[in-house]
Amino acid sequence: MGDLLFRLGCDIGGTFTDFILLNQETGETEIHKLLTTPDDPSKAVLSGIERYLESRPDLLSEMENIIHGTTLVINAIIERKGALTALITTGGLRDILEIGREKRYDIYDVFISYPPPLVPRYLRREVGERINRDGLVIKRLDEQEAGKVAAELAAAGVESIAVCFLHSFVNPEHEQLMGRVLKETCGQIPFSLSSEVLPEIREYERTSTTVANSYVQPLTNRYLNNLKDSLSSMGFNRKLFVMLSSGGTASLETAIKYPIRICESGPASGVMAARFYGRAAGIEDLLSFDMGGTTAKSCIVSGGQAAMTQTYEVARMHRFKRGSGIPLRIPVIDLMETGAGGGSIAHVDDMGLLKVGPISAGAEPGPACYGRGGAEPTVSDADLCLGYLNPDYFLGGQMQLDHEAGLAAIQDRIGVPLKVSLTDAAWGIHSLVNENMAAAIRMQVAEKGLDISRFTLVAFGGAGPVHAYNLASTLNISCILIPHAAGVASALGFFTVPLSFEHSRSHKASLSDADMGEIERIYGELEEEGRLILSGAGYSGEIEYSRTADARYSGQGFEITFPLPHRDFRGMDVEQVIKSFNQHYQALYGRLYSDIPVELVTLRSVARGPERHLNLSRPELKGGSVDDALKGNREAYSPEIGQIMNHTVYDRYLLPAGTALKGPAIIEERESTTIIGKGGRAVMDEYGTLHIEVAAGK
Amino acid sequence: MNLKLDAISTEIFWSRLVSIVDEVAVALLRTSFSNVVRDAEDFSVAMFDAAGNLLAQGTSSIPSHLGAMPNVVKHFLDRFPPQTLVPGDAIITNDPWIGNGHLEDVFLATPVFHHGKLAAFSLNIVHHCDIGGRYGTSESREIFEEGLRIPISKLCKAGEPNEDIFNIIAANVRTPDKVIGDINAQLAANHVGSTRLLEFLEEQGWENMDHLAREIFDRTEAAMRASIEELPDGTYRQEFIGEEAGTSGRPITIKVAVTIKGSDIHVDYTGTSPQEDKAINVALNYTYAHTVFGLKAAINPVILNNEGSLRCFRVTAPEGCILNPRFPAALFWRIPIGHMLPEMVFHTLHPVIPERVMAGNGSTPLSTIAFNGEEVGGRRFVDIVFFNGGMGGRSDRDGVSCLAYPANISNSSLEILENEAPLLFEKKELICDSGGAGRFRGGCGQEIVMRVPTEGEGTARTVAAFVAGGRFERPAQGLLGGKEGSCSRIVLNGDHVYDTSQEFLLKPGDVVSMLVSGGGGYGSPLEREPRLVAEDVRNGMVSLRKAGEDYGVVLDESTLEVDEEATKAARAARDGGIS
Repeated sequence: MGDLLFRLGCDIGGTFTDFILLNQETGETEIHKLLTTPDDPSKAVLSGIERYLESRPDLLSEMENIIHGTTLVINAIIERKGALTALITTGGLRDILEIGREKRYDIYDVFISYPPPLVPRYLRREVGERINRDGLVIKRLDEQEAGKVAAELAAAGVESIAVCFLHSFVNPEHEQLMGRVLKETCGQIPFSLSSEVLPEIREYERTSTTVANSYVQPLTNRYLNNLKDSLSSMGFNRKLFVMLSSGGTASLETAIKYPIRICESGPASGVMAARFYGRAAGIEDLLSFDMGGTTAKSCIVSGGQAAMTQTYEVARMHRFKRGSGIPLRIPVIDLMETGAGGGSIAHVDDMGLLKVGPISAGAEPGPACYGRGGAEPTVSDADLCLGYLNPDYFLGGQMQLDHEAGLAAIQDRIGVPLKVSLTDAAWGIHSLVNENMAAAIRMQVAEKGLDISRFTLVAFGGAGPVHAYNLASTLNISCILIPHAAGVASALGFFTVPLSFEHSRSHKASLSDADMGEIERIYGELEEEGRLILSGAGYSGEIEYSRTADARYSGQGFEITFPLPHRDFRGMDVEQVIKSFNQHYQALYGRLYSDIPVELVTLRSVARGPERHLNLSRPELKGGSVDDALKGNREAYSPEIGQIMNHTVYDRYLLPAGTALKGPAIIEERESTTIIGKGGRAVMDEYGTLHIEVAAGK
Repeated sequence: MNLKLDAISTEIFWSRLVSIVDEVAVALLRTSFSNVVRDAEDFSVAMFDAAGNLLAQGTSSIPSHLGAMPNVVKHFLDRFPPQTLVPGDAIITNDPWIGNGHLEDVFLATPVFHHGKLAAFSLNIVHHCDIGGRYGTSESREIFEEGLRIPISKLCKAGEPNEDIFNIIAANVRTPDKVIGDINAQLAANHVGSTRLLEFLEEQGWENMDHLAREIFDRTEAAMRASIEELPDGTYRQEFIGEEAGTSGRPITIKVAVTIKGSDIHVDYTGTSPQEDKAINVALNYTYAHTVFGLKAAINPVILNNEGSLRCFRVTAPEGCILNPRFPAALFWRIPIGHMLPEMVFHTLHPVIPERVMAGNGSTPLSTIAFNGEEVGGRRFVDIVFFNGGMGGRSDRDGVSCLAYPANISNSSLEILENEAPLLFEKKELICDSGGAGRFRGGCGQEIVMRVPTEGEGTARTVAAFVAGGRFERPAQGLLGGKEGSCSRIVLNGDHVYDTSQEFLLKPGDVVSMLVSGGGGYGSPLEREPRLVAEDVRNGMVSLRKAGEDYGVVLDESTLEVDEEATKAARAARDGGIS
């Protein structure tokens, strides 16, 4: 590895497929975008590659690998385009999938509804078998019945099968046996066992995750194999990797076995890019903040590690209401998503209060200022009113913004009904959307017991740099980084991540009298599974294993994940492990219960290849002074003094490295605009990243 | 200091306050010990102003907890006036007449001081898994049998825990670790609330929340009044017969009169049966909570719930009636009557707003199994699990199967339950034909089967179980021609069938089933799209027989395809509907 010149990243989004080609020697990147081809997403991928071939005919022979992110899986679930899937459960429990948690996500809504289960009831079948909490078989799996069920499902034409038995995470014997029966009876129909997809306690979440895995497996399999074959016919036979929701990559084969793990591959890449830019600037604690057209996504990176979660939801009935979707338990970058993007619509509610989002004007008709018939005032319209956006230089001048239409929408829909001035209305929208994002970020931070003011905000996406300064100020954050080409920075994340995969298994045991040999044995198995996955991806070098465990005080129902040293458990000082759990718990909740036994619930192991070092080329930076980058002046709103004032406007492409400029200022680039408040300072570093110091106090 | 508030700053400050309260909920959930809190999420959090007015409640609160909110902190202030409070105090009570209508709900409030002055209260309410007394029974005649009653007391004084109170509680409950663990979680959560609120006040340079509270209350009140004004004035009445008879043997009648006048609503329960010497009485707070909840859900579900929206509603019930019992009435099992109240409100207002209410709810009242016992080896266990029936059909969609209403309580993972108690859950399944037929079908109910393992399968020695619910004899009603849902029942060892809540002393090998009722249908079943009936039959939610009998839909028995012509004929023969 490493001798070949190029790597290619490609991210298939809902609207665009983004490509980024990296020259590993020079660190140069070449970016382009094509429209996504939803009927067969590999088409756009191939045309994208062909476009590179026009200028570099030998590219494929010089390409080390291709890394791929896709919304295919999540869209298949949202749009219900997955396979006709069946579910086989322990007798009496086929409706666990449909019954769910029985709780309302909105207490007052008489019209509440939930996404229908991915497997309709007539394809949910039961077999007689029972394993108890200790893993003891108290009723043998009836193989004859199992064979009969399998044959009936095959006859019904199902395309994929999920199996979830009670307590299978303690003893997978019956699921494995069922798997053998399926193989014998159903031949080519793929199946997922819950003890492989998610060997963790809580049958509803385990069933839901296993079913979702089955549901998307055939199409993921088809698509990835097609892609591989097409690339191969173009002459590319080296490795194709897929980005995981956890911010690692995996081989094609692993992605096909666990397609549910690639749900959030695109957004994960954005966080990895933010982490990369942070690292390059020597910053390990940061808040990744990606604000686009419809939503804002944020993630905490602490000590260089992106925050992870195991609880995740897709296909929500109400996009921002927890509990309204299909729960998946997979390792996923802990992204907080709020309905706050440039297109989010502002309105006045029943109580006469200003509200922004979550409804978005989208790309069509888009904000009023796009001049495509949108009449609703949006965040972008507010940003335009405030003087933050340049109507003549939106997307580098490719699109003319309709200043009048933006003003009119805000004036008519917000200013007049609320009896406030145009500027107050626009600033209200700008600051309220920031407040909404700040609230979401605060919750995320609270769940982790961190102090956000120590963090650096890394802002990207089209609207990120416009809102970063005021958001930082709301959160008492004093430093901001705005990467070069912030509008498309996220695709870079593909090149920075290692091959990695997490395996887990629930194992309930009180730490003080746990069988350490047993725990070591399980970790050994998890690590072996990890090694197989990495070697299957063609990696033969050193593997880094990290161990964590989900544990709780005996009697509690929520576990926290805490790190364990990578040492043989048999020689481990239990007191030391308990102490480490206590410290972790105290950091999160400010208290500990030293007299209550600590109970392990789930053991987790991540096998990881080496991090890739990425040396980006330094953009050609100008020498000279900031004055050379002066574009002019613009009247824009300054929250510091509460009125419109003169802002200096700079051309980002002409800014010299190392020289500071002072706010109030506006820095323009093609894909975005950066605002620097009064009292703030900004310096461009040698990589073209803007470092902003936020003025203290409001 | 800028105290001027407009439509924009009010919203900004308000979202901040709500996010603080939600953060308190996260802290409580994540540090609690009992299944009731962490899985069932049977708790609420709220912030009050210094005078004891409700400012903001957590986004996912339990409706019943909201009833105590308007007055509970005011009661605390009567007992401990501001000059007797200091930073670090924590006030506790579980008095049902002040709190939430039974002893299990423990209220904990922490006064928040800013610049030496009382500025706010952070309060949370937790349903504890045990509070002593006779566990899980409706047989108690007086409150004294039902457990420990904690009058309004300081649980902490100036930051020092009052160990005596902790000890008294610990000595009176079966699982002190969980109960004390949850009380500590309540303290920790309020600590988070106080800290965040102080940061907020400091940042804004405010002394307290009073001006923000006034602004929010006035706006909420105005919006609620505007919604009420759209409704025609008048008095609407309903009567409901409870199925659980009191010790007197007489059926329990609830009479309700809802009077809409201008922008005010008065709900009066005059004529309702007197209180009983049985633990089925409903304290006035609980009556209030569920009445107001139903009003808000039907009239303006979107608006905030706070002092302002509550100003438009008045709820009265004569003292001594079952909805406003006098001390020392027994109260534990207040659900069978209390949970019916939102539905009574819906059905009373039905002629006025038919499109905004739902048919009768199979999950009303909440069904539960409360069990406790001992494992071989002596470990004691106690737990309570909840099951829900089907929701009623709505004016544009079917009822959801198995969804809590009006309580908002999750079920628990069976795997977790089996780990906590030596039981085997052998079935949790939707019941065919349980959802009332209708143009929009009622949601299906569910059957739960629980078995005490025999030797060799598990480690149970004895299990006492209180299996409870409602709709045993009076099913959830349909609306506008929709049919009723199925009834609930309890079955012991396959042959003893019960039509009331039951207490059992179970031994290894015993099997208890609970069948929870389905929701009522909305609109005539003859108007339901035949395609949807066919789908229900294919999915085993409606039987082939009922498809014909109730819906007039004829299906091919082998393919389950709709026979359009035969269906048309069958429906025409019904002569325009079911009465």
